[in-house]
Formats: sequence, structure tokens, C-alpha cells
Amino acid sequence: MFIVALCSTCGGVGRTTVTAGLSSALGRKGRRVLAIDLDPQNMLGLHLGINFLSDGLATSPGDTWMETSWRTSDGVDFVPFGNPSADVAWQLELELKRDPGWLSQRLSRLDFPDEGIVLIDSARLPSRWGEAARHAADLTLFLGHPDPGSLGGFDALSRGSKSQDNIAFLLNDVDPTRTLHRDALLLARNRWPDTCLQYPIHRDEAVAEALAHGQSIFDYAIRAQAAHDLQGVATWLLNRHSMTAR
Amino acid sequence: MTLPTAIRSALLFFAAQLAVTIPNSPRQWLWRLFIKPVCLPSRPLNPPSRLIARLSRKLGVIDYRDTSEWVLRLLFLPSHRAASEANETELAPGFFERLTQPLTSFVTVIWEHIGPAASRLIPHTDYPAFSARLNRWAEVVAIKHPFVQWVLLILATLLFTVASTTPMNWAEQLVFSLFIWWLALFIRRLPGNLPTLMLMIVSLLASCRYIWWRATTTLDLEPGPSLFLGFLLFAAECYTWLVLLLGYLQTLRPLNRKPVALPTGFSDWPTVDVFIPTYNEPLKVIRATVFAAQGMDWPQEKLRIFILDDGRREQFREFAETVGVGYIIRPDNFHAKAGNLNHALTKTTGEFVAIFDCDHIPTRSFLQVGMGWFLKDPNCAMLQTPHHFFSPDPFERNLDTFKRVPNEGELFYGLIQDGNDLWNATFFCGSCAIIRRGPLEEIGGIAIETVTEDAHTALKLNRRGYSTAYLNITQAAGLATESLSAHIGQRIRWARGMAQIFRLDNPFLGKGLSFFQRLCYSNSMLHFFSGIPRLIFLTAPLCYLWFGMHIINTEAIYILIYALPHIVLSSIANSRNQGAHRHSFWGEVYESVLAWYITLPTTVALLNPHFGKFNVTAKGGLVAEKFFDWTISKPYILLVALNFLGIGVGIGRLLWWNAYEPGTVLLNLAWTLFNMIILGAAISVASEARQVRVNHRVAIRVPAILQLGDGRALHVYTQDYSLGGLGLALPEEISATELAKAGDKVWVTLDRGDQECAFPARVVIANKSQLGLQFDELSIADERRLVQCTFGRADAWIGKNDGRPNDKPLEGFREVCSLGLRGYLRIFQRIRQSLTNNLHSVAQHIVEKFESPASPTHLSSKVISRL
Repeated sequence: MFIVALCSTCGGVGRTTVTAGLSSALGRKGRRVLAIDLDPQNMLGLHLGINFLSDGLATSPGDTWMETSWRTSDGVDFVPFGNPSADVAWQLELELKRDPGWLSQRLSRLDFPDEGIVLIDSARLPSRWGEAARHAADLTLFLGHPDPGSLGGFDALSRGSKSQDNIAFLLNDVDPTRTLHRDALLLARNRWPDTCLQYPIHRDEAVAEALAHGQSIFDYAIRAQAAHDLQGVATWLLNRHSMTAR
Repeated sequence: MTLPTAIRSALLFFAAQLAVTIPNSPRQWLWRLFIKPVCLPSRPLNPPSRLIARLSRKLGVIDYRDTSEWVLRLLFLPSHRAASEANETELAPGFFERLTQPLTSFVTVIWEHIGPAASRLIPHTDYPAFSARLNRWAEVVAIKHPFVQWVLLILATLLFTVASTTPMNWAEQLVFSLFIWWLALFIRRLPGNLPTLMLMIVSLLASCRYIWWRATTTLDLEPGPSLFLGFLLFAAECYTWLVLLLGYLQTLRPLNRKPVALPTGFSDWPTVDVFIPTYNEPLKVIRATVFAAQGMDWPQEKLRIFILDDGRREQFREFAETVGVGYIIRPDNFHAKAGNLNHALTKTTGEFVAIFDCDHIPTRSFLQVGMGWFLKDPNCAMLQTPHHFFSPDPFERNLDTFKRVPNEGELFYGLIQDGNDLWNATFFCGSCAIIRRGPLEEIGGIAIETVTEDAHTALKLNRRGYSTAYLNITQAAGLATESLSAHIGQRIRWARGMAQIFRLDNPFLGKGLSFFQRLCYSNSMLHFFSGIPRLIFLTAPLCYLWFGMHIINTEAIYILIYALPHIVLSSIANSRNQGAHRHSFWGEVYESVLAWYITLPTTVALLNPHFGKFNVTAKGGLVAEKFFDWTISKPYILLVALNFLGIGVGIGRLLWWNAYEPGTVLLNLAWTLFNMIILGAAISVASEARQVRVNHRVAIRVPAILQLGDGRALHVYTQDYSLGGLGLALPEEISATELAKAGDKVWVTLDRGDQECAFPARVVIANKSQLGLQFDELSIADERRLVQCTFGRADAWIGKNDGRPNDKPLEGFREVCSLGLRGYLRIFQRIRQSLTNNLHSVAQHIVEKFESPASPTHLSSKVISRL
């Protein structure tokens, strides 16, 4: 299986939205997809069609977390974070500090096909959850907005990370009518040509509207630009997977 | 009812229909048969019965009260454009098929019975494998046994000579022709280059036999006019044979050169000056070229762009200054474009010079794709790329064949230049090319002795021993000529120039050229002398039909048996060789259109090469009104009239005067009929279609983002664009009306590969599946980006020929026949229209005269009230 963690150094860049969109796109392509919510906000369920899930990864000891999974109509299996009490959450963070490979061990025990894809939505870095997701992942997809803050974050990551093979940068919410966004996109593409995805995800009101309607964007507005971009990123992920598998 | 009463009521009925107010007057009957009345007899506007309503809808009759329209519609369906233009009576695509329905169904039925059996006669094998095996054998012989190769070649030449010159009686010739036809039908199923060569040889066999037979048996004519005309015809046929042979040699094996990569270190990349010469073209034409040139991928410090303005206009100078390109003027205009370029050469220093006509917009990859060859081959002095037109030329526009049939220039840029490249005989075409400065200055700059300065320059370079290259990748596109007269004017200039070069700097004489270079250049020049032979072919059968002169001394059956294989096999070979670049039989149309006009200039230029001046081709104008170019088509109408009379006389000969030689009459009649079809097609080109847009629309499909006012962003594709606006194609489930309405402001984002560019626009058309946008006033930077995201994209012209049907000789023939018929219909319409228009006022007066003032009818009262 191919494990992809979606992280970011800034907040509000759309990790959960993109995780939901990517998993929906991959599910529609007929792939086996598992989406895991590793963010205490517990919002992935809302994006995938169900809200207020109290049982999830954080509330299930041992391997019972698999029983808390749900399946969407797109064929996506997803595991919510759950609504743990403060004590339980604190205990879990201590356990993650002790054992960073906590998640990867659990995933390795999962019966999942080789060509399946696991998407992990994590809390914003720095955080234990984000670190855990990165640790478990074959590829970490860093999201950002086309503004100096996110680009600065990308810069730090590209300097800090020893191997550039397992990270990638993705720009979200790009509005081509804004000069700053256009310039940021150009800068990112030119500065990190191998790491930055050539396809950004454009700003599109349809994303928020789809969420408001409780629908996947592909059901709500298949012709939306954001839908097209998400499909492009999904295809890129699949290509990356087949390249690394060889 | 008695007979006279019945006749009378019928007459009255027709009188009412045609608005003949005095049925007793034969003059008025005659008048009304051709001239419509000022206004029709009053009948209700809506048709009285549902039957008539349905019939009129089905046939496309717009005014059911007009009898002549009914008659017209029964024969000719309106085109799909008739809804908006009530006067237009175009031929629907299926018209020709409908007219010949019985004949075609008969032929189809026969073919369905014979076809399978006939195709079984041709051996079925795995064609690609067979072709590969042939290639291997040829390679083995060529590489490993060169001695055997030479022996085989000599034997083959001997065999060919024997086969073309052996006299045969008609039965033997028939069997021989059938055999080589069968051979050709088999060979043409084999893919690859070697079978193309074999087809050429088979076709040459038939053609050589024909010419030999003509030369040896048919020139035995009575002294006098017959002998003179007979030899004239034979000379024309020799010309055609020679051009065929040279054409095969020229396109023996298209080189298909591939681009060469440039070195990775920018320090090795040379400096390039881009020249954009202009004389009287408007500024808006040159803007796009300048912007696209600024977008070319080349180190900015090594690229300099210059506008060479022979008009010395202040507007251009300001533009150049604003945009940041160079501006060069000179005090005079000697030698037109050549002089302009030479003057600029003295003012610039780049190692290479890239030349673009003011309307040829280069893509960003032009230099990167082309310059590699110069670094690889230090002896290469010139690299030419194809001229692609994003607007339809007069043929395509008037005949509505844009994107369906290859245009006239495609044969040259798609095949002939590629063939020339093999022999190192590519010549410069005036634009979309790069020239090395050193050799250019060595020959004294661009040639000024002739009006086709570009070909002459390349000839001089070749003579010095430099090589020229052709890259068959479209890297620039421009405007085609606007009207037929401009098109012909341009061709006349080329023809004159080529004739001048032929006289002043003949490729066969002088040193510096290889044998094949001489052949290639000569063929290109010979091509422009086709005026007189074409005119001879268009009038030859009239010698017999009008005057009874026999200019070919043989029986009709022999002509058929010798000429048909020649025609059929050369069209098979040509279809195989050039089918992708020119459909069969279209060459006849192109040549016929030009024939009259290039005869005189080429003859004059041959006799006196220094006579005549450079005339610039008009570009960027607008054909405002639909009109029929009578001036241009006068010669063709004359020829058509001559041929038509010839047919009349010919029928007479067939039935009475020459009934003893029906074969000859029929053959001449068939030839005349073919000529008339070709002339009809030539005439239909003169009927200029209206050109609505000032900015030319280019059909292109690239992805775009449409951002609406409410924040939604849609993924769409462009359908066409121009410098004024954009047409978007929407997916089926979305209707433009639910997105926006006319007047809404939107943003459309295009990308040029690495950058995204958003442009503000306004919706002008929003209907079911299309959205038409008009750009607001764009800043200079935005305009530059727009050009670079559209015309300047490196992949802008890849796949320009997708979706075009392949050539089949019979299809080509049918296309041309359909065009011919359409040409006559258009003439008929124009005559009818101008008659009605011009005589309308006269009709009013005459009608007034016919009505007695004592008892005015409703008709004349309406007339009087109008006056």
C-alpha cells in the first residue's frame, strides 16, 4: 500500500478538504482508498458525508480502531479521529512521544492491497499528530497557500529535509486573477521544480458549496475547476506510486 | 368543361401565380417569367393549409407565395446558413449526391457485386510484413552487394526503356495497362517509402509509354493549322510529363529532419536578431508578432528584436519604444523588402538573423527548435520552417473547405520542401526562417535582382556551397491572403520572380550546384510556367469541336487506352505520395485559377527580366460585403462560354456532321465537360464569402479556467480565439445561459506552460453550448501575455491537421465536381440577382405603363403609392 500524509506548516490551508477530495477522486477511479483522520478537529467525517463521529482512531485501543471505519458511496473507507476525552487524548500524545512508529505499526497490521492508497489527514505541524503521520508515510504532501507564509514554510522544509524524495509541495486555493498568487505559483514551480507539483488546486466556490450541500465535489459540480485539479493530483499520486513501486 | 375553357382557366391560374396582370400580352408573360413583380399579389402571410406549411418547411421555402422560389427549392436545398440569410441558396453537402442519385446507386449496386470478387484478384497478405521484407531485401542488396545493386539498376533501366517504347496494338496495350494497374493497386496497400517509389516507377511507365506513343504515332498531321496546334498540344503534354517526372524526383524521399538539441551551457548560444519588416500594414497586425517574438525562449541578452518600418510611421516608432524593441528606418524604399532587410543588416550585429513577416506570429520555441542545426552543421546557412495560416485563404473561405481539405500551400510546405531538403535544395520563403549572417553578407545580402528575392537568395547561398535546411515543424502562423485578387496578385509576383531567376540566374547553368539541386530549383520554377499549358488543355478539344481539326492523329480508342492508364496511375501515385498534403484533382483547380493570370507576367519576365515592379500583398483588410469578383473571373467565364458553345456544336457533330467518328466526338465532349467542371470550380472561388470578423479567429482547443462573478471556477476548453476575444466550448450538461448573460464580467485564465495568466473579459454571446467573450482593453503587458498564452504556445500548431479525412482519388474527383456545379449555380444566382436588382425600378415604370389609369388594380395602386 501507498501511504500519503497530508501535512502543512500553516493552518487553514485545506488539508482536510484536499484529503477528502483526493480520496473521493481515487475512489472513483476504482482504487481501494483508506482515509485516516489524524487531526483532533475530527472534521474529515464532515467532508466525507458524516458528522459527529465519537468513535475513532483515538478512542479505540489496540487494533479495534478498524471497527470504527465507515465506507462512503465513492468506495472510500475512512477512519475518523473520534471524540476522546481530554485524558485519553493526553495519554495518546504521550504514547506517540514514546513510540513515533505507533501509526505505522498499526497500518502494517492492516490487510490492505498493495495497490491501495492510504491518505492521512493530520494536524498542522509542529504537532505529534503531524509527526506521526510523516513517520508512517511513504510520501508527505505539504499543502500551502500561494502566499509568502506558506512559501517560507516550504523553503524551510526543503532545506531541513535530508531526502527530498518523499516530500512534495501542493499549492491550494490559487486565484489566478491575483498577481500575488500568480507570482507565488511561478516562484514555487521554478524554485522547487522536482518537489512542487505542477498542478495547483485553484480557488473555487464550488468546493465550499459542495460541502454545504453535503456532497462530494464530483457529485456537486464535476466541471468545476477544483474537481479537475483534484483529479489531476490524484493521477499524479498514482503515477508516483507506480514509479516508486518499481 | 370544354377544352378551351380548361386551357383558359389554367392560363388564368398561372397568370395569377406569376402576377401577370394582362394575360393577353405575351410581352408581359415573358417579362414575368424572369423578373419578379415589385410586390406579390396579396395573399395572407401565413400559408393557408398545413400541407403547404409543412412542405415549405421541409424544402426551406421562406416565402410560400413566390412560385419561382418553389421551383428553385425543388432542385436546390438551402444550406444550413439559409436560416439567417434568406437570399442565400447554397448547395447542401448532399446536393451533388442527390442529383446523381440514380447513377450512384446503380454504380454502387454493381460495385457491391463486383467489388469483393475484384478485390480478391489482388493478393491479400500481411501488408506491413511484406513491406518490411521488401525493405530488408533492398537494404541487403544496397549495403552488402553494391555491385549487384548497380547491375540490377542498369537492367531495370533497360527494361523500363524497352517497356516504354515497345509499340503495341490495342489489345496488347490494354492487357499491359490492366496488368500495371493491378500491380499498382497491390503496391499501394503496402506501407512504407519503398512502395511509394515503386508506385512512382509504375506510374512513370504508363506516362512514358503515353508520351512515346504520342511522339511516334500521333503527330502525323496535315500541314497548316492542324500541325501547329497539334505540336502545341504535344508540347503542353511534354511539359506536364516533365513536371511529373521532376516532381517525383523532387519528392523522392522527404528528409523529415528532426530538431537538434542545443548545448546545455548558455554561453555557447549565439546572438540572434529578429527582423520584422513592414511597409503599409496596420499596427494591430504587427503587435501580436512583436509580443510573440518577445516571448521566444532565448537568453534575453542574446535576443534583439527590430521593427523595420519602410513606412516610417510615428505610431510604429512609439509602439516600439513603449514595448521595448528596436526600430529601424531608412531614407528610401529601394528594392522594397529586400532593401529593407539589407539596410537593417548594416545596422545590427547578431550572428544570426530570424525574419518574420509582420503577420507571422512565432511560438516561444521557434529559436530553440531551429538553432540546433546551425551549431551542429557549421556549413548550414539557412533554416526554413513551414508557413501555416490560421485564417482561411480565399479558396478555403469561398469554397468552405477550411480544415477539411488541405490548402494550396500545404503541398509545398508539407512535402516539396521536405523533398528538396534531401537534395540540399531548400529555398528561403521570405519568412519564418533563420539565416546565418556571415554567408548572407558574403553573397551581398538578400538578393535584389528579382521580385522573388527569397528563392534567389537561397540559390546564391547554395551556389557558394552552403547548405540550407528545412524543419517540417510549424513554429509560426500567420494570416492568409484576404481576397482572391490579393491571392492572385501574390502568385503573380512569385511567378514573375521565378521567371526572372530562370532568365538571370538559371539553375542549370553556372557552377556551384549539384545535379539534383539544379533539378529541384528548376522544377520549382517550371511549376510557374504552367499557365500556357493549362490554357492549351482548357481549349484543346475546341479545335475539333468548333473547327473539325484533328490535332491528334489517331482513333479515339487508342487515346483512351494510352491516356487513361497515364491519368489513373499518376493519380494513384500522387495520391499516395502527396495525399496528406493535397487532395486529388485539386491541383487542377488551383492551376486553372492562376493559369490566365500568370501567363503574361511569366512570358514577359522570361523575355525581359528587368521589366515590372514589386507589388506588396495586402493583408489584414476586411471583405465587407459578399460579392462576386467579376473582374477576376472574366477570363474563366469567357472560357466557360467557349467550352459551352463547343459542347453545343459537339452535340451537333455527334448527331449529324461527324456521325462517322462518334468516338472522337465523344472523347472531345468528355474532355470539354471535364474542363467545364474545373472552370466551374475556379469560378466558384471568385464568389467571395463575407468575412465577418476583423480579428481572425483561430480554432484552437486549450484548457482554460472560467471564473465567474460569484466565485465559481469552471474548467473549460477554448474553441477559438482572436486578439479581440475568445470563444469557449462548454461541456454538454452545462448551458451558457445558466452561467452568465451578455454583459457579465468574467475572468478567463490561460497558461503558457509555466505561468498562468488571467484576463478580464465580458460575455457577449451566451447560448446553449458556447460562450463568447470579448476582452476589455488590455494593457500592453496583458496583451503580450495573451499572445504568448495563445499564438505563442509551443504546442499551438501541433495537431493542426487532426480530424482531416484522408485523400482518396475518387473522393477528390467528386469534391471537385461538386465545386464545379456550385460555381455555375453561383453565377446563375448572381446573374439573376443583378437582373432583379438593376431592373427593379425599370419594372416599376413598365408595370405602371401597362395598367390603365381608369381602373387601377390593387397591384398598381400599391405601386403608385410606393413611387
